[in-house]
Amino acid sequence: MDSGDTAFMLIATAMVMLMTPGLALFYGGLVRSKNVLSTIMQSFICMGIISVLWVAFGYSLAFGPDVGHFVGNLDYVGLKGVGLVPGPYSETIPDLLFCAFQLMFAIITPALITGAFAERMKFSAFLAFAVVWSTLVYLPVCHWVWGQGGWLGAMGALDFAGGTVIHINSGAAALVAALVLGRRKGYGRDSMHPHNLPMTILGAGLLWFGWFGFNAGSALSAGPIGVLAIFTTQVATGAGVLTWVIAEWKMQGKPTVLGAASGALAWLVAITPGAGFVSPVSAIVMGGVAGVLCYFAILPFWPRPNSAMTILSTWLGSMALVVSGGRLQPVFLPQQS
Amino acid sequence: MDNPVCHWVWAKGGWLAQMGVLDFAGCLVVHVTCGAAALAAVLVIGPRRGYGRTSFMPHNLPMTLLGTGLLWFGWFGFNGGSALAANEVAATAFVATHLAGMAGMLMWVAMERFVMGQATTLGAASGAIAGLATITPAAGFVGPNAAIVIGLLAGVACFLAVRLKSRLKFDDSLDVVGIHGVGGVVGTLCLGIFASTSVNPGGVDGLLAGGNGAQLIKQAIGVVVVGGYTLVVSWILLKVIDATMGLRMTEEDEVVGLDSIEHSETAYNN
Repeated sequence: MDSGDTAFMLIATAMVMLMTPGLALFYGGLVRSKNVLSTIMQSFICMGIISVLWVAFGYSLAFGPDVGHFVGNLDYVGLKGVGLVPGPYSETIPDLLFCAFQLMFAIITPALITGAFAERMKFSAFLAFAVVWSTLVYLPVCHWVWGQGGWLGAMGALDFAGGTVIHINSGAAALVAALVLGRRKGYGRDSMHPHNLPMTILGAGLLWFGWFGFNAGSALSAGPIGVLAIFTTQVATGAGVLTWVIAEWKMQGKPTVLGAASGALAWLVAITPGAGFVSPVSAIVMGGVAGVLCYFAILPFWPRPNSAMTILSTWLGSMALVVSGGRLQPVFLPQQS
Repeated sequence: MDNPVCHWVWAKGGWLAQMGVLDFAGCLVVHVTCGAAALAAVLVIGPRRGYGRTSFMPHNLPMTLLGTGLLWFGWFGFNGGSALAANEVAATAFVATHLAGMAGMLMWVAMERFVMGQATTLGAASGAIAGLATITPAAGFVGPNAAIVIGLLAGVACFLAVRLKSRLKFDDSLDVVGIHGVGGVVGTLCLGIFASTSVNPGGVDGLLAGGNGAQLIKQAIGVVVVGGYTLVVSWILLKVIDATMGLRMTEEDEVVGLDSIEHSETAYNN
């Protein structure tokens, strides 16, 4: 056990926790004023639901001993045997701390999906969806990629901090949810401008800050990989902001605040799987690509821009890059010493 | 311009650093440069339309207080992190940062109460930032008591600077010169007065600790050189921009507001 690594992971865990209220503010600012609280609540309540679910059986299904390369078994139900000594996933931090860090990831993933069905889903239906979705989708996928014996991880698929587990996952779920629920009443007819952009920027700032914990913390140690991850996260996100804003400026005439926030989010998502694997210059290049891709992903929805669809498209566009990023990683890998 | 100044003060071989000018966490590099550049900008761009005639009230003070809280929180990283280690110097800087922010806030609010009759939340926010900016160069070199004194001085000096600005009708919209510029100068000089090797053996003794007036003179040279250089270069830069691409919004656009003109957005909708 290492006190430095443990101190770092405690802080990183707290930072990732802050991302969910940050996301609530980010989404809350984007909706119309009559739906602010319902949108914030859908993210915030995940901190309640998923925390309990995680202790009850979530951690066990995701990280418990492998069953058929598909899911964890029930050995860790009630966090039985998850103690204060290093476990199977890290040699230098307590098992319980790894569990807490992973809990924060499990919380934010269903919260991310809420952006797609903002302003029109029943709260009770959302609660049911969050519980069942986390159980049937998040936990197994998390096991496939990160759990010991998971088939994707065994195949050699790399996902540094959750591009597949969190963002492809939430993006795909968001797509399905938006298709099933249908459009909002008045969509395309009424104005659906964000009711409070400063709130959105505050949320984006908290997300950006928390993302350092998300990506650097995924190194699980206070060492060189964490440093690389924090640096690539920062410069790539900067490049994403610039690219999105410039694309907007050229194609629609004005650089917008919403564009700057969207560009930041798009690349925070897109750098996540590669953060600890690529060089800073590669990160900037990939950041530019993410900005452009996600920007074009929302173009079909112009000239009636729509916050919920923008959110969805940000994740969808990023998904495309995450997939290609997964392919690109081997190319960039030699640069990582 | 920040890049060369940063090199002078912090880089190996930078000439101010070689002379012995100290700047713990970036007061010269960050606050004096931004304050001087802001002064140049105020002079070049001129006041907002209606300045002095109509009232420009903050539209959302809770937002300002939230921002102040985030700045205060981040400042621990700024000053504590400038130790580049998790050690005694970082702890010193951390404590000094908090105490100076506190003292700056209290002093500013007291000045407001004394001079204008009411203590305001905006004053609390301004005073906290003034104290935090002022302690920045000295944070790792002074003890807790000195940090409180420096914070109190910041509260007085920056409050008076902002008052003076109003008298002189300088439209420094958000008081960058009065808070960061004046705070940066006061803090950099205070380092020469209050620094003590009993707090940080790797630092220096200032005027009070060892009767060492030389450090105060070095700090003053740092302030004059950095402030002067930044002021001149910023002024030229802004004039060049003004002459080539134009610096200022047109009068009609300024009346409409920059949000809708520059970004096609409005902050609040229904």
